[in-house]
Amino acid sequence: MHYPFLITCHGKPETPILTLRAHPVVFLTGGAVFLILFFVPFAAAALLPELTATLLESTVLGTGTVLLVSLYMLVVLLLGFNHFFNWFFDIWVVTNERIVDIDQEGVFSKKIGELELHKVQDVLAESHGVLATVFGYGRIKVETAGSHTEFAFDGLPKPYAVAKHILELAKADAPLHQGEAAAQH
Amino acid sequence: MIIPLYVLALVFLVPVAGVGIMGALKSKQLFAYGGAFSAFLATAVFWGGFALILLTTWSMLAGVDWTTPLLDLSVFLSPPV
Repeated sequence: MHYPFLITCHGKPETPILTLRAHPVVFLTGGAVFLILFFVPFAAAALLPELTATLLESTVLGTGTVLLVSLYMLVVLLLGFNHFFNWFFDIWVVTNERIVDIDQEGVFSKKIGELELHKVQDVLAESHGVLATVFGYGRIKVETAGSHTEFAFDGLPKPYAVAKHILELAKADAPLHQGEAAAQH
Repeated sequence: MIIPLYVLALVFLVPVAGVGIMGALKSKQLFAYGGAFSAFLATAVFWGGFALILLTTWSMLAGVDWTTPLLDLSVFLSPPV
């Protein structure tokens, strides 16, 4: 994986430690909707065989119907691919210095936010619902003290372990920035 | 003035090209990310589905007379009575 956003800090290049993405179940539950939509024309043809046969008998109506259904399926396929794309590229990269939140919104839009680990004050992990409990995913929220900045990620696998890991990294990073904090005061 | 059926096919090709271009752009970005298996699988499913849908459409429309009139607009061009 490429990390083009990494910076140099304390004279050393930043090291990526965790790459976090929503649980595959989160993708699959959304993907199931596209799968159902994809098979709607087949279900309609099976439920209404007479209407389908009548439509397909006519040259103009039949051609129009085939082209329209084909287009519908292509669009559903593209939307399903887009759903995967957004799930795949919606990631958090936790380095030894920062949490980088990469938020992909379609092909042409991307948002990157960052939160410095030494500013982390509180990490909240929570898991709600049957699927989340069974598959072990949940929401994680990272808060900073001063600027009221808040980072949240839904559907993250093992949220409690991740929260613990982030807090440990924040504690390890804090002493390296004590000089900066003193200079600000 | 008679608009033939192949106009419908030409109109159909525009959004199909759009879907193809969007799919290609997404595939390119997924490829650039690095060889994750899930990305490879999703790309293969998309292009497999894309090809399958177009081939099915092609085979279902085999034998269609594309010169069949789709719309007859001559009624608008005839002089008023």
